[in-house]
Amino acid sequence: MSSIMGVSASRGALLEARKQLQFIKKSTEILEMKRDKVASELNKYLNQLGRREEVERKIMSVYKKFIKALVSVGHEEFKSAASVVSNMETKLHRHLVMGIEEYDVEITKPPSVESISNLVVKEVADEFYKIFIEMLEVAVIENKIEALAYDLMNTARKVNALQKIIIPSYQDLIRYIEERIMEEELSEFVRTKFIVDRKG
Amino acid sequence: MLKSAQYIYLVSRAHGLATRLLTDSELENLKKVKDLFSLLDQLTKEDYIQPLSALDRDRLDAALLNNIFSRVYVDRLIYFTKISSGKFRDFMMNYIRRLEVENLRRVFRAKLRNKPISMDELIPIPREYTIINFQDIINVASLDDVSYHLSPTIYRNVQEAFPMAKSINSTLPLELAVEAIYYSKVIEAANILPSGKRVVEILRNEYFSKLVYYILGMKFLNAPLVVFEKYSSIMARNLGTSVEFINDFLRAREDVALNIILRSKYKWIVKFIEPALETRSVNDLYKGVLHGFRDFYKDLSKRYPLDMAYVLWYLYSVEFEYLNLVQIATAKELGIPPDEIELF
Repeated sequence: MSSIMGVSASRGALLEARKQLQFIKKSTEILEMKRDKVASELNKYLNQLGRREEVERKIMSVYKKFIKALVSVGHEEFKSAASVVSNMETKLHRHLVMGIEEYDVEITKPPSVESISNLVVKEVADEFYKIFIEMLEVAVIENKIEALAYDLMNTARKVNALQKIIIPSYQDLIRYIEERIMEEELSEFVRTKFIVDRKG
Repeated sequence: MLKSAQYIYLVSRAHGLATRLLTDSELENLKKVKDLFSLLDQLTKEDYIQPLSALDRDRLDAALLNNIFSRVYVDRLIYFTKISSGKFRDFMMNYIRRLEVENLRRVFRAKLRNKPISMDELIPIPREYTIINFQDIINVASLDDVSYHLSPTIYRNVQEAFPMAKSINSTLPLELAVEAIYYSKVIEAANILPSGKRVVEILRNEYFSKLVYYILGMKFLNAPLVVFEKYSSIMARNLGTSVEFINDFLRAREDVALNIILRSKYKWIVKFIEPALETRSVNDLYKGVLHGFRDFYKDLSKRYPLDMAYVLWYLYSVEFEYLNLVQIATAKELGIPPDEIELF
C-alpha cells in the first residue's frame, strides 16, 4: 500500500481525510466570519483615528495657555496653587473579545482640580484635565485599533493559508487516495477475473 | 491743616526711594534681553546689585531669580515700615501683612493635602513684622491645627471658614476670609491717617479689583459663588457699599455684572476687563484687573505728590515691579519672545 503525506491510501484514510477537510472548511468559514467582523469593528474605529490630530492641536493650545498663565503668576504661585490637587487614581480593565485583548481605563478618583483657589491656575488645570480625558479616550481607541489590526492580519493570514495551501493539499490528498483506491480496485478486479478465467 | 514732620518725612522718603524703582522704559528694555544671564547683567538697579552678584550663575533659573525679586520686594516694604513711626508705622505694619496673607495662603494650600512645606517656600518675613509664628505653623499635622494657631491672632475669625473649606475641598474660603480681614484692618489703620479718606478709597479700589477678578473669574469657570455670599457683609463693609451691591454683583450674569460696576464708583475698571469678557479667559481677566489697577494708582503720583496717597503709590509700584520682574524672568526662561510679554 502506497502513502502520501504519511497517509496510506486506504478507505479508512480517505474517510479520515474527507472528515478533516470538512472540518478545515468549517474552520475557514468561521475564521472568515471573524475576519469580516474584525474588519467591520476596525472600520468603526478607523474614523476616530483623526481625533488624535484634533486632540494634539487642543493640547498645544492648552499648553500655550499654560505658558501664559505661568508667566502671569510665576513659578512659586503656580506651584503653591497646584499643590492642593490630589493624585488621580485609575484602573486598567482587560477584556477578551473574540480572542482579542482590549483595555479600558477607568478613572476611579479624578484629580481635585476644583480645589485650586488661584483661578488662573484653575482655568489651565480644568482645560488640561478635560484634554487629558480626551487623550485617554484616543489612547484606548488606538490600542483597540492596534489589537484589532494585528488580529485581522493574523486571521487573514490564517484564512489565506487554509484556502490556498491546506485545503488544496487536502483536496489533492483525497483525490490521490481516491485514485489509488480505484487503481487498486481495478487491479484487484483484473486479478480476480484472470483467476476466474484460468479456472474456467 | 499743618502736616506733621513724620508725614512730610515719609512722603519725601517715598519720593527718594521711588528713584530706585525701575522705570517703564527700563522694564521694557529688560523685556527685550536675550536670556536670564542677560537679564542678570542688565538689572543694575541698586537694590538688586548685591543679591544678584552673590548668585551662583551655574544654578541660575527663573525660580531662583524670582526668589531674589521677592526678597527685594519684602526688604523694600520692611524698610519703609522701619522708617515710619506712630500711626504711620501702625498703618505700615498693617499694610505689610499682605506678605503674611500670602504666606498663609501657601500654608493653607499645603495643609489641605497634608503636604510638607518648608520656610524656603514662604516669603521671608522677619519675625518682628508678623504676628504669626510660621516656624510652628508649617509643622502642624493638618489644616485644623492651622486654625488653632490662628486663634490668638487677628485672623481668629477665619476659623468659621474652615468647615466650608473642608466641605468644598478648597482653600478658597480661607483665602477670601484672610484677605477680607487684612483689608478691614489696613482700612481701619488708614482711617486715622492724615488724608486717610483718600488712602482708604485707594485701598478699597484695590480690594474691589481683586473681588472683580475672583467673582468674574468664578463666573467664567462656571464655579459656584456660594462661598462669596458668606462674606458679602464683610466685603461690603470693606468697600463701604451695601450688602445688596455685593449680592447683586455675585448673582448677576456677566454682562449685567458689568452694568452693576458701571453704575458704581469702580467704573474705571470696566474698560480693562471688557476684553476678558469676550474671550472668557481668566488669565486675560487677571491681567486686565492688574492693568486697570495699575492705571488707577499711577495717576495718584501726579495728582497727590505731597500726600499719603503718594506713599501708597510707591508701595504699589514696589509690588508691581516685583510682579513684572517675575513675569520677565519666567518668560525668559521659557523663551517667550518680548512682544508676547505683557507687563502689568
